[in-house]
Amino acid sequence: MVDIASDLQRRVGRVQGAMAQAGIGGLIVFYGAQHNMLRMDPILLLADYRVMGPSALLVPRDGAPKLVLTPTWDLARAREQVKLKDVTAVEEAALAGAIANAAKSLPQPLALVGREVMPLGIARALYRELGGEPMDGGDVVKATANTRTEIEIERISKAAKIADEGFRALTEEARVGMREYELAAILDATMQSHGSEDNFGLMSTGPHNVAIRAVSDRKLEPGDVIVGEITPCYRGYFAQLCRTLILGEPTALQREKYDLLLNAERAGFAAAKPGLPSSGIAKAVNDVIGAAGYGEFCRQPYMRTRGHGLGLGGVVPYDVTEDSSPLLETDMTMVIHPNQYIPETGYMMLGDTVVIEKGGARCLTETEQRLFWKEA
Amino acid sequence: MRTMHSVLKHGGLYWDRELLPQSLYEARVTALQAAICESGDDAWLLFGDIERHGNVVYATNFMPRVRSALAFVPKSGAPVLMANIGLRDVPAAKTITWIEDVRPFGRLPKDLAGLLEKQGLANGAIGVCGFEESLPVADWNAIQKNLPNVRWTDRGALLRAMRAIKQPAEIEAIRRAAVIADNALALAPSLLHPGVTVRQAIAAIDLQVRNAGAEDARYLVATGPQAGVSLRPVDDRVLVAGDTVVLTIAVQAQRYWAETARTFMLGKASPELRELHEVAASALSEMIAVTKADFAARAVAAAGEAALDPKIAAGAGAYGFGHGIGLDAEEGPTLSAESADIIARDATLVLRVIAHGNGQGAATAATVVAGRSRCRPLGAMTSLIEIPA
Repeated sequence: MVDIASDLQRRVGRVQGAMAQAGIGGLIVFYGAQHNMLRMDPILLLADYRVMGPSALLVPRDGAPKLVLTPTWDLARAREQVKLKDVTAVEEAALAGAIANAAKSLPQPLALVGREVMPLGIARALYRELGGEPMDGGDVVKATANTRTEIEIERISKAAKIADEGFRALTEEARVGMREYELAAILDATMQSHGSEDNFGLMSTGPHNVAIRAVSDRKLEPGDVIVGEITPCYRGYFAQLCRTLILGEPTALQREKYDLLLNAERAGFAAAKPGLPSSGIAKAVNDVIGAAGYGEFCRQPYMRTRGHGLGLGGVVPYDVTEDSSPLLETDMTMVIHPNQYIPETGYMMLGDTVVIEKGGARCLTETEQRLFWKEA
Repeated sequence: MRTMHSVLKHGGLYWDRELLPQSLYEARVTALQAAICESGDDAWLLFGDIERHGNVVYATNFMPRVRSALAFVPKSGAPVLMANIGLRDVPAAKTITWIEDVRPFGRLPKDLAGLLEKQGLANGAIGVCGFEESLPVADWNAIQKNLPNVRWTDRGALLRAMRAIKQPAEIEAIRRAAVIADNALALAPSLLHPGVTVRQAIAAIDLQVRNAGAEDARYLVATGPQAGVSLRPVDDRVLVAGDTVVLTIAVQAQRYWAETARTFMLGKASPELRELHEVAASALSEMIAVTKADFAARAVAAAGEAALDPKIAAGAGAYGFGHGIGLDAEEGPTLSAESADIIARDATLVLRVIAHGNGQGAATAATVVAGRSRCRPLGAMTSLIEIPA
């Protein structure tokens, strides 16, 4: 196993290589405290640290980066955990000045990544302090992060195991009369006790779900279809599991339609091979569902994607649709989910996190791929 | 207080209409429209995201669980809610808002331009709230490009002043959130024991919080040797006998936040810890004693600071001696030496003292409402809690 310090050096080295190619002397990498399943956290990627406030990593074309973070009281934790020598902390009001000051030692020209998350007020202050707006760093970080390293895949695998534990708790604890939010609380508590830091969790219950949504105060009833999108986070990395549980024995129709999802997922997995376009996964899934007469339900507003990049946020291959173009590469991680609204049964969910390997997709989640049910 | 934000709101999302009736929001929009007219604007845009959404909730009761939302409030006529959700999510969104016109957006700059153009406001005077704090600069650049003739004015201060004065229903909502936090922390002594990880213990506390109907909760904690250093997000440290556990918790229910803090000791507290906690509690008492409406926020912070050793005061000041609390976990007024804010009548505040010193840590906090002559705590006041081995 590669140690994290060497792994980080390689990640930073790749970014510095991309900076050189793009003609960037120094890079300001901004991120905030809003961690997001579908957005890559570049500070986590390059410093293995989840910040608690607006912060910036300053990357020179050669040499070690510097971390400037907020709030000041988080400095001790950062110094315990971050492998970089130069870590400072300031109050948020002083952040722009501190970034500009640290940027003085960076070679020119300066570039900035993170405008899509940088609040307007901080941006205005930063441009003022820098004496102008730095050039756009574009995808200089993101483009180096298409694939996951061994350490990252290990974390995503751990998150996948936590998702399995969460779904196991859901199937054991779901019962008629409990509220949706109570069931979601059990699921989250179970995953937290197994090491989950967070969960992008969605769940819907009812006899006929239209889509997945936030949990409400609805009480579970016999015959309810419980659909769950379970996305725990382990040391900053996400994995996702989508499954369907019925409170009561499934009808023949529900079994038949869920078989459709199972076949679609198998088709999607078969299309997930290195060198092939990610659109092939969506086409494979939609072909199976379309052939059963539900082609129109494979499109908006019913369905949007058949999966997405997942692990360190939603990096390449991004959303998996019939129009998506990225080519799959070995060590990409993603979720493939042929979740589907079907008029006769409502919305049902099935999805797993996979890593793309030489021979194809390897499932990191281990929960059985089937329609789950329990006595009401 | 600054904290690590979750990727989405985890808890139950529903609208208790008995607690927060639609008429409350209608009255707010009427007041907003009066303010819009008075400022000479054509409309205001109230922006918020998962971290800071009070501006949007104030007018709509809609809270973005993930990503962002924007309320368009014209000087007359019905407001529009734009949310960064999918079309299929609109029915669920409508269960928590009274706004009839709910529009999903994928790209805010493009869809906002479409809205303002249709409203005949492409050359209008638009007030904005929450843009400085939360709107990504990339979106702002695109909005300006799409709407080059709009005259933009920041109206955040006006809205902050309106939001600072809490109505009775809001105070009740904050009190309920405080009760959820207190009840969960009352169980902590049975959950904090040697051999469990901090994450496992907080998971059990969080379960209580969520079962009580909270839609979100934030925890910062320091255990064992960390207690003398700093608070941090929940981690996997295994608790051992003799550990101090310093815990702050913020709970959100029905969109309203409350915050509190406790210090636990796994075993018997040392004289040093007792002394530190007493100093922190005394500083909090001093702050509570002076907090009232029309009082300078910096004077409240000064009261807390004066009760502390300068070194401990500097650390406590870094966390902040408190701030307003309500629809946002952290809102005005700010209680600090530099603050120019004045505490409004019926403002709700969290007063807080986090103390580290001599390898020890202690925390105490209270959510209060500012009355004419004094403030009233909305949650329990506690002392250092020893958990027998």
